[in-house]
Amino acid sequence: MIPRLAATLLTVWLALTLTFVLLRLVPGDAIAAQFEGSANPQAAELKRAALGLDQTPLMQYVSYWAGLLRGDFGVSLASGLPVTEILAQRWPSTLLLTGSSMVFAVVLGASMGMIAGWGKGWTARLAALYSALALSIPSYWTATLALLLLGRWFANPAYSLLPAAIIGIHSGGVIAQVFGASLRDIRTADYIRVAHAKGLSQRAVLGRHALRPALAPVVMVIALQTGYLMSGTIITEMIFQRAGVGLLLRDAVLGQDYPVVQGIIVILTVLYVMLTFAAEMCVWWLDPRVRDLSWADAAA
Amino acid sequence: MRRLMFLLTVCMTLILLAPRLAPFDPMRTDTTSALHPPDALHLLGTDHLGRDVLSRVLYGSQRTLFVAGSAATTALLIGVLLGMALSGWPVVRRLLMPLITALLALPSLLLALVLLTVWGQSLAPLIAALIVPQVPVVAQTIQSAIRPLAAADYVTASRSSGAARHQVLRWHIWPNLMPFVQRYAGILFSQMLFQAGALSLLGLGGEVGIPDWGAMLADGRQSFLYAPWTVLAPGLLMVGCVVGVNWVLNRDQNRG
Repeated sequence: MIPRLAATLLTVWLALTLTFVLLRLVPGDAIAAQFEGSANPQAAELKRAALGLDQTPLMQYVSYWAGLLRGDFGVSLASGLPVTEILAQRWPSTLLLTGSSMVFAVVLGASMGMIAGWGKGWTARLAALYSALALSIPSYWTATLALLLLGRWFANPAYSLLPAAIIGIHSGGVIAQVFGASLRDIRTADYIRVAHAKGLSQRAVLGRHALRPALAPVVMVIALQTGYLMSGTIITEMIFQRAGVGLLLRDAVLGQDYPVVQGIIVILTVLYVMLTFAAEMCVWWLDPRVRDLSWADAAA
Repeated sequence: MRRLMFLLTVCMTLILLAPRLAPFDPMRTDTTSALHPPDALHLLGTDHLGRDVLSRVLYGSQRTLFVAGSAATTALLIGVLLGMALSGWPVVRRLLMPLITALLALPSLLLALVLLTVWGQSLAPLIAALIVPQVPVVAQTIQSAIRPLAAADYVTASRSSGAARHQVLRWHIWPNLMPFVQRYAGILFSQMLFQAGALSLLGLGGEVGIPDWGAMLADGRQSFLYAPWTVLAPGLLMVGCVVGVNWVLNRDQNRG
């Protein structure tokens, strides 16, 4: 448990440090853009000094961590507002969109994956076709087409879940693909044939013997897809014109608003780490066979 | 492999012949015939600057497929080697795994955005901005694909009879990993194609005016509600390419 926790903390620290360094590789800063063409060159210098941007990168890094550990994310260079305040305004919309997309995706992916992996005949083939198509079409194109065909409905607040449904279709395809493949693998396993041979019904074989080990890779993919959707909101929010974290991240990177980018990345990284950790725990509980392996792996 | 060669030949012919097949100069603007619906003269209509959509998708295929193809190939090459090194040598894993997990936790578009603003927007930085965020993903995927293969008895047997790590990887792991890598190549290609398009949507993918399917989708976003042909053609071609490549890679495999 302790090495796992240490590795997690190391991951978070590395991700944040990478972001800090990467952002400062871009020449210029937000203040220069604000004071471009200004008659008073000293004003920009004064502002930099007030925000601590005149210090060496190392000093900035130290004070960044000192602030972060106190829960202080700094102030936005562009608007002067505290980053926590900006984030509190933007996160609910993004969380709502990602959360409801994942609900659609899990329901769709689980049912389609079940049909594709356990079913027979044309229904199974249709379910497999769905996941193949969902993977072959970029979600921003589906979104554009949906706006074209269902444009009027998007304005209607009764259909506010429509964007989530469209994104969910694509993530659901990924889940169905993984679930279907793992069910197909397990279907031919010896213990499933034994279960059939001793006269259990289809439903009992599926529920009691096949489902649990088949779900292990699915849980992992659900966690990864959630993280993927979180960072993919840059595009979805642009297309559906929702003021969420994605658009904020794009504007902050392009405007070199370091504290805002760093604030978003802190939350994204911690969420990602928590999701994968929770998924690993789920897998550990679902499939006893990986328990020995994973502990041997950790010891090696 | 025959199917692959056939598809490649058809694509290469279309791409190379684009200058001959295209009825118009893809860059020529003509505001008097802007957003013209498809007719006998402009088979796929014109965009908001009056440029011929058919000529632009033909020319655009050159840049689009080159970017996605070279990014996918390079990312696959580096990622597979890295993934094999990670599963073969515990030292490598202990040193690099934290960095790889950290890169996985960062949004890939953030990395691409920063790289493109640092290096400027042209062809080479675009391809690099697609590769860098993808390599950890490929390495991680390959590593988890190797895990069940490495548990086989013949791997243990080979190791205990004195084979070196790289020999086990080359002669026991790689032949069993190959089919997976082949299937994964198709998925990777589609991801690179989509990611390049996403960068174009953010206004970072292309150079001004040079035709590219992603850039065409981005341009069409302003006018697609009354001129849907501007986004239908490049989008359909993208989907067609992805379906074609994956079909070929998977079909070959089923035949063995």
